Amino acid sequence: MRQDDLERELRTDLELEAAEQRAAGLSDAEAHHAARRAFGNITRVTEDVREISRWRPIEQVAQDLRYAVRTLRKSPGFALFAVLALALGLGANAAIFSVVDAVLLRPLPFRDAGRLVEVWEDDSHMGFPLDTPAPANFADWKHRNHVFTDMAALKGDLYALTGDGPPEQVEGSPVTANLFPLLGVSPILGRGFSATEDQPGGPRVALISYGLWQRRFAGDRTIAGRDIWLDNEKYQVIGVMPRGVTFPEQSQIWLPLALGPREWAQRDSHYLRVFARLKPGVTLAQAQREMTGIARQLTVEYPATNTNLGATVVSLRDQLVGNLKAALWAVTAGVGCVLLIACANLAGLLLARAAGRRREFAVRAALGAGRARLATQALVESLLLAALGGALGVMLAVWAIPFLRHLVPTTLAAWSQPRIDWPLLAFLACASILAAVLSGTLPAMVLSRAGWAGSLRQGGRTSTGGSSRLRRLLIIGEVGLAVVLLVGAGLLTKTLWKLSHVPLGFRPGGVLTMRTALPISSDTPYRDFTARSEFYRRVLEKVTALPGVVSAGYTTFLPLTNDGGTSAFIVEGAPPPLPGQINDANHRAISAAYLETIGVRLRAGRSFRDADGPAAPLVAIVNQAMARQYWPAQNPLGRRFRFDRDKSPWFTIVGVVDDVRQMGIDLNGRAEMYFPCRQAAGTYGYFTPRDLAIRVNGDPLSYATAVERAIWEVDRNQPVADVMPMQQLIAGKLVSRDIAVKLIGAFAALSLLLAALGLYGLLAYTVTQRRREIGVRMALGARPGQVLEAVLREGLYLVLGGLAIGAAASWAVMRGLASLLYSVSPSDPVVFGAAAAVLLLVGSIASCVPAYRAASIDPVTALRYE
Amino acid sequence: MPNESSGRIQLLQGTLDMLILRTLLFGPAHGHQIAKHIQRTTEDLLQVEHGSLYPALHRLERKGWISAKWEVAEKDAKREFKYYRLTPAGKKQLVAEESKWRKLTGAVARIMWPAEES
Repeated sequence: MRQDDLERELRTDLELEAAEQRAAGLSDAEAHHAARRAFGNITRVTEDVREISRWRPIEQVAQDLRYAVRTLRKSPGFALFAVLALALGLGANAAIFSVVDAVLLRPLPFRDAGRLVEVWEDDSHMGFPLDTPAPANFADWKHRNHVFTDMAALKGDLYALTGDGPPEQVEGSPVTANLFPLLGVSPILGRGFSATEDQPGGPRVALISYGLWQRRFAGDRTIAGRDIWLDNEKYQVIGVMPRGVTFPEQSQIWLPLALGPREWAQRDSHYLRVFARLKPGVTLAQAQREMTGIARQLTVEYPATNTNLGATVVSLRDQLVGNLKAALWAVTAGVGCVLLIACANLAGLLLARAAGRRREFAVRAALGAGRARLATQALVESLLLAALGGALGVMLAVWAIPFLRHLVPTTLAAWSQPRIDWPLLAFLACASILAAVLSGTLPAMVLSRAGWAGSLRQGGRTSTGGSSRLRRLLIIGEVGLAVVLLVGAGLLTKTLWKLSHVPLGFRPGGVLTMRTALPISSDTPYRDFTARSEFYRRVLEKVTALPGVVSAGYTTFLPLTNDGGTSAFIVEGAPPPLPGQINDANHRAISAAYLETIGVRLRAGRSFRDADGPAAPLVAIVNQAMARQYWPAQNPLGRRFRFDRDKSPWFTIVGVVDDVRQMGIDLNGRAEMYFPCRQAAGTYGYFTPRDLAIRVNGDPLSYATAVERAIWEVDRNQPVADVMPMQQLIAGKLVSRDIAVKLIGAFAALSLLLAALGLYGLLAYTVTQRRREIGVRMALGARPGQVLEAVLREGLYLVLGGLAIGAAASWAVMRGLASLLYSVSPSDPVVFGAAAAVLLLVGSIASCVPAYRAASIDPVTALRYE
Repeated sequence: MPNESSGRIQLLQGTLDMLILRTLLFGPAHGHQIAKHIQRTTEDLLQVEHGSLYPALHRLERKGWISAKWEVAEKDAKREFKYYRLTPAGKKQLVAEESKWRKLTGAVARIMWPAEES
């Protein structure tokens, strides 16, 4: 009878509970369930009671959440700071993740792309560790290897696209017919190349990129079968490649490679790019061993061309990402540190609050809340903070991502850009939970222990020993991480400074550059040397006549725009080179005023002049590196050399100029030779000038339209591409480093700020806690100076502790950064010293305010205060 | 009930009993109302579990400090609830409990924070 009564009472209670839950708009399932419990069979109440306990956790979390919201609303300052700190940490991590995802994680647009590799000739002894293979070597690799399912080749080139629209220069690649099948991509419209088209004298057919199709041909589906004009020759478009495929770099057009027997026999002309697919089960290392073996065989068989020539296999992803990988990992590590510091900071704040909330938790423990329940409550609070921080972080990421697009290498840019997507949101959710756990675990443990062991015996104020020791450790950790970031930022900043102040060998300021590549391989007037010469003469004449133009010159390649373009040569009077010891120098054909225009200093002899024409004696200018290497301890002026090929005439050196950084800002100038572009002997084929440099007064870009008009007056079908100030060309080489430095610098500043706030918070809190004690001391005769000093000393001890740990960690970690540094040691004492100084300064400022407040405590009020 | 010698349970009983009696001072209420009132007044800090509430109510009823009766609800005449009322003995008990609690916390406070009293 009594039992029935209890059951009935419980049931009405549950009924009310269900109604309230529905009214509160809780989930249907829950309300439905509660209702079922309420109206269930009367004999099933025992089971219903069991159900209560099953649903309890969810009800409890909902209660905990409501309670957490209320608690946080009561201390909006704390909540705001915590959410902002987490939002910065999480948002920065999300933004960097978007780049890492775009560059390193998202699959390449090729079938089973993980098995694709690029194979290079290893020509390290000549300064080209990754050299473009010669056709005959490629053919031997292809036939002899057992590690690749197939190998394909292509050649990079530029084409003038004319007819149907304004003249336009596009990158294009003649490819072997098996390239796209090997990559696993096929045209979305039309068809790919057939083997018969990849033969000398085969039909002129072309594949075009999705981008070019959309942009120039407005996505016209009848494009397949239409004719287009490339370098004044007619090609039939047979297909359009899928969106995003611009293989290998920015190619918009593909043609059959169609090498003839003469080309297939070449071993001394290196111009192919070779791609291959690993057989199933074959690793990169196995492929490398096989290729090294084949390269050795070739060395034995063809000593004249293949001595010292190896082969290097690089995974396609690494090839496309290039040297950005190291920078990206550095940035990722940096942003991870920021999140750790934000978490440590929040943990410290929560611990401080925990000390003040012991009584509250003790009461709850007394009323029957278990230890796990108390810990959950504390964790729910940090989860709520992290969720809010994460939501705000998404907005931060949305704002930051456009700035990060420059971190994606151009090789990937067409199809992979950083963006907000599901993987990013999933990452952010995981990071938020991690942040909540990292920052909430310690306080939750302290609180739940307080609720139990401490119970009501302890008050709200004293006894903060345990948690404040934890807070000190957290501050030391934060300072240590901030030191690591500061040192990293310092090293990278110093590297960037060194790189942007490296003597380039030329003066890029005030120079406008552009590319006007003349079609020479096909049936155009420019096949004829004199027609080309006439083009250069007339363009230079018109451009130089423009008001404000100081001088103008043509060259084969501007510095930093081409990693190769070299020729082998023979020095007059020197013993013939040993097999594999090829004399090789960068080869540039230039107009008379070019060196003067970009500001290369003449060291000896004379510059080229208009008189160095077709009928005049053949002359050349060499750089100091070439002079030192081939005419050591001699005057190179008047000496002669010729190209290492049949029927090459001799060239007489008339001038020596400074070394120019041609291959990279961080690479010393290589041996280089210049030939006057009006003498055909040094200005053949590939070395035909294409880049125009113009030195002007004032802003170079303001001359762009006038120069373009001048060029089109000479030939209105001539594309003009890459118009930019030379400064921009150089800035472009540093842009990814520049962004990495700015990012890591921003992370360092952020971590410094967070660590300083953490330190300030701890000291201010301690001073408040010890207000009475300080008051008593001052009443007993302590001078304000002594109090100030005591607080400052406490702050500085923490800073010094963090500094020691951070410096040791930096010393160990910065070696990993070595590949990103340039003429800066990973343990650069200036950088370490500067980081320490900055930290001590900021630490002192953060300690000063609470110290001053402590020193200005009035003993009388302090004693009355409690 | 079996051996409840742990300090927590003692405290729980004493405190919860006092809180229930204090709640019923406002007038009759059923179990759900009592639990909600304690929870709301303390802004969710004190959450009274069913497992504690109903045994406590029945214990108080046995001791004669409260009386219980199934009655029709004021707002919803179709439903019956078990309403609890404070008895005169319960009122006296509440006064006694309250002064005991005040003495206890005062004593604890004097030991813990001696200066505060000055």
